[in-house]
Amino acid sequence: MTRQEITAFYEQYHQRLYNTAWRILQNSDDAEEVMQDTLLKYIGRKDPAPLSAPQIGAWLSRTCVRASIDRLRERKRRADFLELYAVDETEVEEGDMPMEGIDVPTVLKALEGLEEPYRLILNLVLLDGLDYEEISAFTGKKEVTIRSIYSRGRVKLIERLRK
Amino acid sequence: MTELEQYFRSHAEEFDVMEPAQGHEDRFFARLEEAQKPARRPWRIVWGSVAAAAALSALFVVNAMRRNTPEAIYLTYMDRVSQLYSACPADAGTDWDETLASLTEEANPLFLQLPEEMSRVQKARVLKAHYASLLDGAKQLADQ
Repeated sequence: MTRQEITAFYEQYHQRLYNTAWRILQNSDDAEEVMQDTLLKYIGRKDPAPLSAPQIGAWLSRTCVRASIDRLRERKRRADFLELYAVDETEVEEGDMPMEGIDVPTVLKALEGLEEPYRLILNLVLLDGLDYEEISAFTGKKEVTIRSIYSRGRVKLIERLRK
Repeated sequence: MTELEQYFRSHAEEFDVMEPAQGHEDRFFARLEEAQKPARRPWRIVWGSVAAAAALSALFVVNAMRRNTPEAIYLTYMDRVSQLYSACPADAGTDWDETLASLTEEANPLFLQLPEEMSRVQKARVLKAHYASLLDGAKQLADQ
């Protein structure tokens, strides 16, 4: 890639990746470093097959999420990280609510106000588009646990939005 | 898909409201230039130091075992893997990284899978053997 191509590439993807990392890490310095690590890793890759634009986006997103979770795990050290996911795995009723007329800042504030691990898992599912299986692979937790956290988190989010 | 999920999907980009601190692009290009510099040491020497580090794996795991907790062994293993990644030269590309990842990463770490009925000493013993084996695999990679 030429410098011009790299600049365009950086401009195209940096904000999305920075936000992905920030939502997981909640720290600007760490998020910037992970975002840049991800872009540098892509630029340095030597895979023979070129990727399509959607494939590039997906590759960057998954790599960024994985690196962010690794860093979160490292930062919290293992014991704290495991405790974070020690939640009740019983099913909760699926909730929903009409979203018409609700603006993004309101939803964002409600989402960011959720306690962990609900905030993190809802972000990964709703904004980063990961499924339970992928989150399970990234975090090392069972799919049923992730599903349960997501269901409970969604109920909590709806409760906040109704207030 | 619920209405809530549909809402997030259709407004996804609007949630990306955070901006990195000023100067992020300059910092990125400084890192890019650093990454594109040739490695300071020839390949064989770098590989040799990786191999030497990997050869210490058993010693590290034994030291962790002295602390006699499954957590200590797992954390030692994670630290060892981090050090192996750090030893990778900047211009090695992603192949080395990815091979090391496939050798050492676990989708479901054994550390989390051992049954509750096992004593901590039994768990530590099993983890020691398992993670020493994974680190030996990394050593084989470094010896190539």
